[in-house]
Amino acid sequence: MSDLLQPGEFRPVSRRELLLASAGGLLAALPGACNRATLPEPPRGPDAPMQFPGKVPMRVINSLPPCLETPWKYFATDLTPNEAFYVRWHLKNIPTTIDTRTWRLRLDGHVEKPIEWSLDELRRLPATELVAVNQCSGNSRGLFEPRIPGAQWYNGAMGNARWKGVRLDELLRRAGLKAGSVEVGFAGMDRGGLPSVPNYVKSVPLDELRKPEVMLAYEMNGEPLPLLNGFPVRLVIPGWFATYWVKAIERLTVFDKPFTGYWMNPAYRIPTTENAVEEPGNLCKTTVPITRMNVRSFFTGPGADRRLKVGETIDLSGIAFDGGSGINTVEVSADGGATWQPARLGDDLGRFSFRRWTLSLTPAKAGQQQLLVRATSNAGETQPSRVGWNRAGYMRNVYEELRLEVR
Amino acid sequence: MSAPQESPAPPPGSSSLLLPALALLVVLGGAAAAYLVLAPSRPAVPPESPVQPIDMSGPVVSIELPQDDPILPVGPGGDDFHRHCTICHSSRLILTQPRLRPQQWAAVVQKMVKMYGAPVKPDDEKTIVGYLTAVHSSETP
Repeated sequence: MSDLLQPGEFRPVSRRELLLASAGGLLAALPGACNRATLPEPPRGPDAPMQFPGKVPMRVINSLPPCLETPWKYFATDLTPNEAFYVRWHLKNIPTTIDTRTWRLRLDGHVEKPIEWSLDELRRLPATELVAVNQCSGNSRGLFEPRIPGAQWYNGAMGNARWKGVRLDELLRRAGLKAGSVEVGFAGMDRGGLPSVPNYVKSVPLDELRKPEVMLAYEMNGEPLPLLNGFPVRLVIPGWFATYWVKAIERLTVFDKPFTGYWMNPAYRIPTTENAVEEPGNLCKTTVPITRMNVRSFFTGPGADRRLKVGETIDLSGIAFDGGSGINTVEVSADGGATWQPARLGDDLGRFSFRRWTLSLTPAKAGQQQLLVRATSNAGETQPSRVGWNRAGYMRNVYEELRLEVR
Repeated sequence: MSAPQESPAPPPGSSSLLLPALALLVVLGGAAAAYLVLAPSRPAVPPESPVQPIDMSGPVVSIELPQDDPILPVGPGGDDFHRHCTICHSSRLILTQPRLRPQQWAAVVQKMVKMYGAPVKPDDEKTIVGYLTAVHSSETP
Protein backbone atom coordinates (compact mmCIF):
# COMPACT_ATOMS: atom_id res chain seq x y z
CA MET A 1 0.00 0.00 0.00
CA SER A 2 1.24 3.47 -0.78
CA ASP A 3 0.54 4.60 2.79
CA LEU A 4 2.93 2.13 4.36
CA LEU A 5 6.09 3.90 5.44
CA GLN A 6 9.44 3.03 3.99
CA PRO A 7 12.33 2.30 6.38
CA GLY A 8 13.87 5.51 7.66
CA GLU A 9 10.71 7.56 7.19
CA PHE A 10 8.27 8.76 9.74
CA ARG A 11 4.99 10.49 9.52
CA PRO A 12 4.61 13.27 12.08
CA VAL A 13 1.17 13.79 13.57
CA SER A 14 -0.59 16.82 14.96
CA ARG A 15 -2.64 17.17 18.12
CA ARG A 16 -5.95 16.58 16.35
CA GLU A 17 -4.81 13.28 14.96
CA LEU A 18 -3.71 12.18 18.40
CA LEU A 19 -7.04 13.10 19.93
CA LEU A 20 -8.76 11.15 17.19
CA ALA A 21 -6.43 8.25 17.88
CA SER A 22 -7.15 8.16 21.58
CA ALA A 23 -10.86 8.74 21.24
CA GLY A 24 -11.60 6.46 18.36
CA GLY A 25 -8.78 3.99 18.28
CA LEU A 26 -5.76 4.03 16.08
CA LEU A 27 -7.82 3.17 13.04
CA ALA A 28 -9.15 6.71 12.85
CA ALA A 29 -5.68 8.23 12.76
CA LEU A 30 -4.17 6.09 10.06
CA PRO A 31 -3.91 7.74 6.69
CA GLY A 32 -6.43 6.68 4.13
CA ALA A 33 -8.26 4.61 6.68
CA CYS A 34 -11.17 6.99 7.10
CA ASN A 35 -12.86 10.10 5.88
CA ARG A 36 -10.15 12.52 4.70
CA ALA A 37 -12.22 15.47 5.92
CA THR A 38 -11.36 14.57 9.54
CA LEU A 39 -7.61 14.62 8.99
CA PRO A 40 -5.97 17.82 10.26
CA GLU A 41 -3.70 20.44 8.73
CA PRO A 42 -0.42 19.37 7.11
CA PRO A 43 1.78 17.68 9.69
CA ARG A 44 4.90 19.46 10.93
CA GLY A 45 8.13 17.54 11.16
CA PRO A 46 10.66 18.08 13.95
CA ASP A 47 12.85 20.06 11.55
CA ALA A 48 9.97 22.31 10.48
CA PRO A 49 11.50 25.77 10.62
CA MET A 50 9.97 28.39 12.88
CA GLN A 51 10.69 32.07 12.85
CA PHE A 52 9.94 34.28 15.82
CA PRO A 53 8.89 37.94 15.76
CA GLY A 54 11.83 40.33 15.60
CA LYS A 55 14.26 37.47 14.93
CA VAL A 56 16.10 36.04 11.96
CA PRO A 57 15.69 32.31 11.35
CA MET A 58 17.41 30.60 14.28
CA ARG A 59 18.01 27.09 15.51
CA VAL A 60 14.92 26.14 17.56
CA ILE A 61 15.94 24.20 20.66
CA ASN A 62 12.40 24.57 22.00
CA SER A 63 9.41 26.43 20.67
CA LEU A 64 7.49 26.84 23.90
CA PRO A 65 8.94 28.40 25.88
CA PRO A 66 11.17 29.82 23.15
CA CYS A 67 14.82 28.73 23.19
CA LEU A 68 16.53 29.93 20.02
CA GLU A 69 20.22 29.64 19.11
CA THR A 70 22.20 32.24 17.14
CA PRO A 71 23.50 31.04 13.74
CA TRP A 72 27.31 31.05 13.86
CA LYS A 73 27.81 33.65 11.10
CA TYR A 74 26.50 36.42 13.39
CA PHE A 75 29.60 36.13 15.59
CA ALA A 76 31.66 37.66 12.79
CA THR A 77 30.69 41.13 14.11
CA ASP A 78 31.76 42.45 17.49
CA LEU A 79 28.19 43.17 18.54
CA THR A 80 25.59 40.45 18.04
CA PRO A 81 22.56 42.00 16.30
CA ASN A 82 19.38 42.07 18.39
CA GLU A 83 17.49 40.18 15.68
CA ALA A 84 19.99 37.31 15.93
CA PHE A 85 20.56 37.38 19.68
CA TYR A 86 19.84 34.04 21.28
CA VAL A 87 16.68 33.54 23.37
CA ARG A 88 16.21 31.35 26.40
CA TRP A 89 13.12 31.22 28.61
CA HIS A 90 12.38 28.58 31.26
CA LEU A 91 8.66 29.01 31.84
CA LYS A 92 5.80 28.58 29.42
CA ASN A 93 3.96 31.87 29.94
CA ILE A 94 6.39 34.57 28.88
CA PRO A 95 5.23 38.19 28.73
CA THR A 96 4.05 38.93 25.19
CA THR A 97 2.26 42.21 25.92
CA ILE A 98 3.55 45.03 28.12
CA ASP A 99 1.58 48.21 28.77
CA THR A 100 4.27 50.68 29.71
CA ARG A 101 1.64 53.05 31.11
CA THR A 102 0.84 50.61 33.92
CA TRP A 103 4.04 48.53 34.25
CA ARG A 104 6.03 49.24 37.40
CA LEU A 105 9.28 47.89 38.81
CA ARG A 106 8.99 47.32 42.55
CA LEU A 107 11.90 47.28 45.03
CA ASP A 108 10.98 45.97 48.47
CA GLY A 109 12.05 43.62 51.24
CA HIS A 110 14.67 44.59 53.84
CA VAL A 111 14.57 48.30 52.95
CA GLU A 112 13.57 51.53 54.69
CA LYS A 113 10.88 52.22 52.13
CA PRO A 114 9.68 50.16 49.13
CA ILE A 115 9.81 52.05 45.84
CA GLU A 116 8.17 51.67 42.45
CA TRP A 117 9.36 53.07 39.15
CA SER A 118 7.79 53.29 35.71
CA LEU A 119 9.93 52.62 32.66
CA ASP A 120 10.05 56.38 31.93
CA GLU A 121 11.26 57.07 35.45
CA LEU A 122 14.00 54.42 35.19
CA ARG A 123 15.14 55.91 31.89
CA ARG A 124 15.45 59.33 33.51
CA LEU A 125 17.76 58.11 36.28
CA PRO A 126 21.54 58.51 35.72
CA ALA A 127 22.42 55.98 33.02
CA THR A 128 25.39 53.70 32.49
CA GLU A 129 26.49 51.86 29.39
CA LEU A 130 28.97 49.10 28.57
CA VAL A 131 29.59 46.16 26.24
CA ALA A 132 29.26 42.72 27.79
CA VAL A 133 28.93 39.07 26.80
CA ASN A 134 25.78 37.24 27.82
CA GLN A 135 26.38 33.47 27.76
CA CYS A 136 24.00 30.73 28.82
CA SER A 137 25.34 28.49 31.62
CA GLY A 138 24.58 25.52 29.38
CA ASN A 139 26.09 26.93 26.18
CA SER A 140 27.71 24.02 24.29
CA ARG A 141 25.80 21.38 26.32
CA GLY A 142 24.93 19.49 23.12
CA LEU A 143 28.64 18.80 22.59
CA PHE A 144 29.35 16.88 25.81
CA GLU A 145 29.85 13.11 25.83
CA PRO A 146 28.15 11.37 27.52
CA ARG A 147 25.18 13.46 26.46
CA ILE A 148 23.22 15.42 29.05
CA PRO A 149 19.46 16.16 28.97
CA GLY A 150 18.52 19.82 28.78
CA ALA A 151 18.71 22.53 26.14
CA GLN A 152 20.92 21.03 23.44
CA TRP A 153 22.87 24.11 22.43
CA TYR A 154 25.91 24.02 20.19
CA ASN A 155 28.17 27.06 20.80
CA GLY A 156 25.64 29.74 19.87
CA ALA A 157 23.87 30.39 23.19
CA MET A 158 25.81 33.57 23.73
CA GLY A 159 25.97 37.13 22.41
CA ASN A 160 27.80 40.42 22.84
CA ALA A 161 25.87 43.66 23.15
CA ARG A 162 26.12 47.24 24.28
CA TRP A 163 23.82 47.47 27.31
CA LYS A 164 22.37 50.69 28.67
CA GLY A 165 20.49 51.08 31.92
CA VAL A 166 20.59 52.29 35.50
CA ARG A 167 23.24 51.04 37.90
CA LEU A 168 21.89 48.65 40.57
CA ASP A 169 23.78 50.62 43.17
CA GLU A 170 21.79 53.72 42.20
CA LEU A 171 18.47 51.90 42.77
CA LEU A 172 19.51 50.31 46.06
CA ARG A 173 20.78 53.61 47.42
CA ARG A 174 17.39 55.21 46.78
CA ALA A 175 15.52 52.49 48.68
CA GLY A 176 17.81 52.59 51.72
CA LEU A 177 19.01 49.12 52.66
CA LYS A 178 18.50 48.17 56.29
CA ALA A 179 21.37 46.72 58.32
CA GLY A 180 21.78 43.00 57.78
CA SER A 181 20.89 43.03 54.07
CA VAL A 182 22.87 40.37 52.19
CA GLU A 183 21.29 39.66 48.79
CA VAL A 184 18.76 40.95 46.30
CA GLY A 185 16.33 38.64 44.54
CA PHE A 186 15.27 39.40 40.96
CA ALA A 187 11.84 38.09 39.95
CA GLY A 188 10.75 37.74 36.32
CA MET A 189 7.19 38.27 35.07
CA ASP A 190 7.14 34.88 33.35
CA ARG A 191 5.10 32.02 34.88
CA GLY A 192 5.04 28.26 34.50
CA GLY A 193 2.24 26.25 32.98
CA LEU A 194 1.12 25.10 36.46
CA PRO A 195 1.00 26.90 39.84
CA SER A 196 3.46 24.28 41.13
CA VAL A 197 6.20 25.45 38.77
CA PRO A 198 8.58 27.70 40.76
CA ASN A 199 8.68 31.32 39.59
CA TYR A 200 11.94 32.43 38.02
CA VAL A 201 13.81 34.21 40.82
CA LYS A 202 17.61 34.55 41.04
CA SER A 203 19.44 36.05 43.98
CA VAL A 204 22.79 37.88 43.94
CA PRO A 205 25.01 38.94 46.88
CA LEU A 206 25.15 42.68 47.57
CA ASP A 207 28.94 42.80 47.12
CA GLU A 208 28.51 41.90 43.47
CA LEU A 209 25.51 44.18 42.90
CA ARG A 210 27.40 47.25 44.12
CA LYS A 211 30.02 46.91 41.37
CA PRO A 212 29.77 49.70 38.77
CA GLU A 213 29.21 47.30 35.88
CA VAL A 214 25.96 45.80 37.26
CA MET A 215 22.83 47.46 35.90
CA LEU A 216 19.14 47.10 35.22
CA ALA A 217 19.24 47.44 31.43
CA TYR A 218 16.47 48.85 29.23
CA GLU A 219 18.48 49.10 26.01
CA MET A 220 20.48 46.62 23.97
CA ASN A 221 22.62 47.81 21.03
CA GLY A 222 20.88 51.18 21.04
CA GLU A 223 17.32 49.80 20.95
CA PRO A 224 14.79 48.93 23.64
CA LEU A 225 15.19 45.29 24.68
CA PRO A 226 13.29 42.97 22.37
CA LEU A 227 10.36 41.29 24.20
CA LEU A 228 12.06 37.95 23.61
CA ASN A 229 15.22 39.29 25.32
CA GLY A 230 13.52 40.74 28.38
CA PHE A 231 11.61 43.98 27.67
CA PRO A 232 11.10 46.23 29.61
CA VAL A 233 14.15 45.65 31.87
CA ARG A 234 16.57 42.87 32.65
CA LEU A 235 19.52 42.44 34.99
CA VAL A 236 22.92 42.80 33.32
CA ILE A 237 25.66 41.33 35.53
CA PRO A 238 28.78 41.35 33.33
CA GLY A 239 31.11 38.40 33.79
CA TRP A 240 28.41 36.19 35.35
CA PHE A 241 26.49 33.53 33.46
CA ALA A 242 23.18 34.50 31.91
CA THR A 243 21.01 32.56 34.39
CA TYR A 244 21.33 35.70 36.55
CA TRP A 245 20.43 38.13 33.77
CA VAL A 246 16.75 37.81 34.70
CA LYS A 247 14.45 39.04 31.95
CA ALA A 248 11.22 41.05 32.22
CA ILE A 249 11.89 41.86 35.87
CA GLU A 250 8.88 42.92 37.91
CA ARG A 251 10.35 42.98 41.38
CA LEU A 252 13.60 43.33 43.33
CA THR A 253 13.48 42.03 46.90
CA VAL A 254 16.26 42.73 49.39
CA PHE A 255 16.94 39.70 51.61
CA ASP A 256 18.53 39.53 55.06
CA LYS A 257 19.55 35.91 54.51
CA PRO A 258 20.56 33.87 51.45
CA PHE A 259 17.65 33.01 49.16
CA THR A 260 17.11 29.30 48.50
CA GLY A 261 14.37 29.16 45.86
CA TYR A 262 14.37 26.37 43.24
CA TRP A 263 16.31 28.31 40.58
CA MET A 264 19.17 28.82 43.10
CA ASN A 265 18.94 25.31 44.60
CA PRO A 266 18.88 22.63 43.21
CA ALA A 267 18.92 24.30 39.80
CA TYR A 268 22.02 26.00 38.37
CA ARG A 269 24.64 24.49 40.64
CA ILE A 270 28.14 23.28 39.85
CA PRO A 271 30.49 20.85 41.62
CA THR A 272 33.00 22.45 43.97
CA THR A 273 35.92 21.21 41.88
CA GLU A 274 38.52 22.93 39.72
CA ASN A 275 36.71 24.35 36.66
CA ALA A 276 33.50 22.53 37.78
CA VAL A 277 34.68 19.21 36.39
CA GLU A 278 33.43 15.80 37.60
CA GLU A 279 33.16 12.26 36.25
CA PRO A 280 29.91 10.59 35.26
CA GLY A 281 29.25 7.89 37.85
CA ASN A 282 31.40 9.66 40.45
CA LEU A 283 29.61 12.93 41.04
CA CYS A 284 31.04 15.47 43.44
CA LYS A 285 29.20 15.48 46.79
CA THR A 286 29.12 19.27 47.18
CA THR A 287 27.77 21.97 44.87
CA VAL A 288 27.58 25.75 44.80
CA PRO A 289 25.57 28.14 42.60
CA ILE A 290 27.18 28.78 39.21
CA THR A 291 28.43 32.37 39.03
CA ARG A 292 31.32 33.76 36.94
CA MET A 293 32.21 32.66 33.40
CA ASN A 294 35.44 30.82 32.59
CA VAL A 295 37.73 31.85 29.70
CA ARG A 296 36.75 30.75 26.18
CA SER A 297 37.87 31.34 22.59
CA PHE A 298 36.35 30.44 19.22
CA PHE A 299 36.98 30.46 15.47
CA THR A 300 34.60 32.64 13.49
CA GLY A 301 36.36 32.35 10.13
CA PRO A 302 36.94 30.86 7.65
CA GLY A 303 33.98 28.48 7.48
CA ALA A 304 34.76 24.79 7.88
CA ASP A 305 33.61 24.17 4.33
CA ARG A 306 36.34 26.35 2.79
CA ARG A 307 38.54 24.49 0.34
CA LEU A 308 42.14 25.68 0.47
CA LYS A 309 45.29 25.07 -1.59
CA VAL A 310 48.77 24.28 -0.31
CA GLY A 311 50.68 27.54 -0.08
CA GLU A 312 47.47 29.63 0.13
CA THR A 313 47.34 31.97 3.13
CA ILE A 314 44.37 31.40 5.43
CA ASP A 315 43.07 34.42 7.35
CA LEU A 316 41.82 33.00 10.62
CA SER A 317 39.58 35.04 12.88
CA GLY A 318 37.66 34.53 16.07
CA ILE A 319 36.58 35.81 19.43
CA ALA A 320 37.63 35.32 23.04
CA PHE A 321 36.22 36.38 26.40
CA ASP A 322 36.40 35.57 30.10
CA GLY A 323 34.61 36.42 33.35
CA GLY A 324 35.77 40.04 33.42
CA SER A 325 39.55 40.35 33.67
CA GLY A 326 39.88 40.69 29.89
CA ILE A 327 41.88 38.73 27.33
CA ASN A 328 45.68 38.73 27.52
CA THR A 329 46.60 36.38 24.66
CA VAL A 330 45.01 34.16 22.04
CA GLU A 331 47.10 31.41 20.41
CA VAL A 332 46.53 28.97 17.57
CA SER A 333 48.09 25.55 17.07
CA ALA A 334 48.30 23.69 13.75
CA ASP A 335 50.05 20.62 15.20
CA GLY A 336 47.57 19.32 17.77
CA GLY A 337 48.81 21.55 20.59
CA ALA A 338 52.56 20.86 20.38
CA THR A 339 53.36 24.43 19.36
CA TRP A 340 51.33 27.65 19.48
CA GLN A 341 51.43 30.94 17.57
CA PRO A 342 50.11 34.15 19.11
CA ALA A 343 47.18 35.79 17.33
CA ARG A 344 46.72 39.52 16.89
CA LEU A 345 44.06 40.96 19.21
CA GLY A 346 41.49 43.36 17.80
CA ASP A 347 39.82 46.45 19.28
CA ASP A 348 39.31 46.36 23.03
CA LEU A 349 35.63 47.07 23.74
CA GLY A 350 36.13 46.49 27.46
CA ARG A 351 36.96 43.60 29.75
CA PHE A 352 33.45 42.13 29.60
CA SER A 353 33.18 42.13 25.80
CA PHE A 354 34.12 39.69 23.03
CA ARG A 355 37.73 40.35 21.97
CA ARG A 356 38.30 39.70 18.30
CA TRP A 357 41.52 37.99 17.18
CA THR A 358 43.11 37.34 13.78
CA LEU A 359 46.01 35.25 12.49
CA SER A 360 47.24 34.35 9.02
CA LEU A 361 48.63 30.88 8.41
CA THR A 362 50.02 29.21 5.31
CA PRO A 363 49.64 25.42 5.45
CA ALA A 364 52.73 23.74 4.02
CA LYS A 365 51.18 20.41 3.09
CA ALA A 366 47.90 19.01 1.81
CA GLY A 367 45.38 17.05 3.83
CA GLN A 368 43.04 17.81 6.67
CA GLN A 369 44.30 20.63 8.86
CA GLN A 370 43.24 20.55 12.48
CA LEU A 371 43.56 23.97 14.10
CA LEU A 372 43.14 24.65 17.81
CA VAL A 373 42.65 27.98 19.56
CA ARG A 374 43.16 28.90 23.20
CA ALA A 375 43.00 32.11 25.22
CA THR A 376 44.67 33.27 28.42
CA SER A 377 42.96 35.92 30.51
CA ASN A 378 44.58 38.88 32.22
CA ALA A 379 43.91 37.06 35.50
CA GLY A 380 46.09 34.21 34.22
CA GLU A 381 43.24 31.77 33.57
CA THR A 382 43.85 29.26 30.77
CA GLN A 383 41.63 26.81 28.94
CA PRO A 384 41.89 23.05 29.42
CA SER A 385 43.15 20.91 26.53
CA ARG A 386 40.69 18.16 27.41
CA VAL A 387 36.92 18.35 27.89
CA GLY A 388 35.69 18.64 31.47
CA TRP A 389 32.22 17.15 32.06
CA ASN A 390 29.67 17.89 34.79
CA ARG A 391 26.21 16.53 35.44
CA ALA A 392 24.28 19.57 34.19
CA GLY A 393 26.45 20.38 31.15
CA TYR A 394 27.71 23.79 32.34
CA MET A 395 30.89 25.80 31.77
CA ARG A 396 32.35 23.91 28.83
CA ASN A 397 35.58 25.70 27.81
CA VAL A 398 37.93 23.20 26.16
CA TYR A 399 40.10 24.38 23.21
CA GLU A 400 37.89 24.87 20.16
CA GLU A 401 38.84 23.24 16.91
CA LEU A 402 38.57 24.09 13.23
CA ARG A 403 39.13 21.49 10.53
CA LEU A 404 40.06 22.66 7.05
CA GLU A 405 40.68 20.73 3.82
CA VAL A 406 43.93 21.68 2.09
CA ARG A 407 44.63 20.34 -1.40
CA MET B 1 38.29 19.08 21.90
CA SER B 2 36.18 19.91 18.94
CA ALA B 3 33.11 21.89 18.06
CA PRO B 4 31.21 22.70 14.94
CA GLN B 5 31.80 26.23 13.75
CA GLU B 6 28.57 26.59 11.90
CA SER B 7 25.19 25.32 12.85
CA PRO B 8 23.46 23.16 11.84
CA ALA B 9 26.51 20.88 11.63
CA PRO B 10 25.88 17.95 13.93
CA PRO B 11 27.95 17.62 17.09
CA PRO B 12 30.93 15.30 16.94
CA GLY B 13 30.41 11.79 18.20
CA SER B 14 26.67 11.90 17.59
CA SER B 15 24.79 8.75 16.76
CA SER B 16 23.88 7.63 13.28
CA LEU B 17 21.11 9.50 11.57
CA LEU B 18 19.57 6.42 10.05
CA LEU B 19 17.44 4.01 12.02
CA PRO B 20 15.24 1.28 10.68
CA ALA B 21 11.53 1.98 10.93
CA LEU B 22 9.23 -0.74 12.10
CA ALA B 23 6.43 -1.69 9.82
CA LEU B 24 3.02 -0.55 10.91
CA LEU B 25 -0.16 -2.50 10.73
CA VAL B 26 -3.39 -1.44 9.19
CA VAL B 27 -6.27 -3.04 10.98
CA LEU B 28 -9.90 -3.58 10.40
CA GLY B 29 -12.20 -3.06 13.36
CA GLY B 30 -9.50 -3.34 16.00
CA ALA B 31 -6.66 -1.49 17.55
CA ALA B 32 -3.09 -2.05 16.52
CA ALA B 33 0.12 -0.81 18.02
CA ALA B 34 2.21 1.28 15.67
CA TYR B 35 5.69 2.23 16.74
CA LEU B 36 7.47 4.62 14.46
CA VAL B 37 11.18 4.95 15.16
CA LEU B 38 12.48 8.32 14.14
CA ALA B 39 15.73 9.57 12.79
CA PRO B 40 17.20 11.83 15.50
CA SER B 41 15.89 15.31 14.89
CA ARG B 42 18.20 18.21 14.16
CA PRO B 43 16.26 21.47 14.20
CA ALA B 44 17.13 23.10 10.91
CA VAL B 45 18.01 26.75 10.36
CA PRO B 46 15.61 27.92 7.69
CA PRO B 47 16.87 29.78 4.65
CA GLU B 48 17.01 33.59 4.91
CA SER B 49 13.64 35.21 5.32
CA PRO B 50 12.72 38.72 6.43
CA VAL B 51 12.61 39.66 10.10
CA GLN B 52 9.08 40.41 11.29
CA PRO B 53 9.34 43.94 12.70
CA ILE B 54 7.90 44.79 16.12
CA ASP B 55 6.41 48.21 16.78
CA MET B 56 8.11 49.59 19.87
CA SER B 57 6.83 53.16 19.39
CA GLY B 58 3.54 52.99 21.28
CA PRO B 59 2.81 52.62 25.00
CA VAL B 60 1.78 48.98 24.48
CA VAL B 61 4.42 46.59 23.14
CA SER B 62 3.22 43.23 21.93
CA ILE B 63 4.29 40.13 20.00
CA GLU B 64 2.53 36.99 18.90
CA LEU B 65 4.40 33.72 19.25
CA PRO B 66 4.19 31.22 16.38
CA GLN B 67 2.28 27.99 17.03
CA ASP B 68 4.09 24.66 17.03
CA ASP B 69 1.86 21.64 16.76
CA PRO B 70 2.90 18.48 18.53
CA ILE B 71 5.02 16.50 16.14
CA LEU B 72 5.50 13.14 17.81
CA PRO B 73 4.28 9.88 16.35
CA VAL B 74 1.17 7.93 17.16
CA GLY B 75 1.80 5.12 19.62
CA PRO B 76 0.70 3.62 22.96
CA GLY B 77 1.13 6.20 25.66
CA GLY B 78 1.20 9.03 23.14
CA ASP B 79 -2.05 10.54 24.32
CA ASP B 80 -0.93 10.21 27.96
CA PHE B 81 2.26 12.00 26.99
CA HIS B 82 0.40 14.85 25.32
CA ARG B 83 -2.15 15.21 28.12
CA HIS B 84 0.48 15.42 30.86
CA CYS B 85 3.60 16.73 29.20
CA THR B 86 2.57 19.60 26.94
CA ILE B 87 1.01 21.58 29.80
CA CYS B 88 4.31 23.38 30.34
CA HIS B 89 6.40 22.96 27.17
CA SER B 90 6.13 21.96 23.56
CA SER B 91 6.71 18.41 22.38
CA ARG B 92 9.54 19.68 20.20
CA LEU B 93 11.67 19.77 23.36
CA ILE B 94 11.61 15.96 23.46
CA LEU B 95 12.90 15.53 19.94
CA THR B 96 15.78 17.95 20.41
CA GLN B 97 17.04 15.88 23.37
CA PRO B 98 19.69 13.23 22.87
CA ARG B 99 18.32 9.70 22.55
CA LEU B 100 18.21 8.95 26.27
CA ARG B 101 18.26 5.48 27.81
CA PRO B 102 14.97 4.34 29.39
CA GLN B 103 16.35 5.01 32.90
CA GLN B 104 17.27 8.54 31.83
CA TRP B 105 13.77 9.20 30.46
CA ALA B 106 12.39 7.87 33.76
CA ALA B 107 14.62 10.32 35.67
CA VAL B 108 13.44 13.20 33.46
CA VAL B 109 9.76 12.36 34.10
CA GLN B 110 10.44 12.02 37.84
CA LYS B 111 12.05 15.46 37.84
CA MET B 112 8.97 16.92 36.14
CA VAL B 113 6.78 15.44 38.88
CA LYS B 114 9.03 16.19 41.86
CA MET B 115 10.38 19.64 40.93
CA TYR B 116 7.63 21.13 38.79
CA GLY B 117 4.50 19.34 40.04
CA ALA B 118 3.54 17.61 36.81
CA PRO B 119 0.22 15.86 37.54
CA VAL B 120 1.42 12.34 36.67
CA LYS B 121 0.29 9.32 38.70
CA PRO B 122 2.77 6.41 39.04
CA ASP B 123 0.91 4.26 36.46
CA ASP B 124 0.84 7.11 33.98
CA GLU B 125 4.54 7.64 34.64
CA LYS B 126 5.31 4.14 33.37
CA THR B 127 3.18 4.63 30.28
CA ILE B 128 4.79 7.96 29.48
CA VAL B 129 8.33 6.63 29.95
CA GLY B 130 7.38 3.72 27.70
CA TYR B 131 6.21 6.10 25.00
CA LEU B 132 9.29 8.33 25.23
CA THR B 133 11.53 5.28 25.06
CA ALA B 134 9.67 4.05 21.98
CA VAL B 135 9.95 7.32 20.10
CA HIS B 136 13.31 8.72 21.20
CA SER B 137 15.71 6.36 22.92
CA SER B 138 19.06 4.80 22.17
CA GLU B 139 17.62 1.49 23.35
CA THR B 140 14.62 -0.45 22.11
CA PRO B 141 11.74 -0.63 24.59
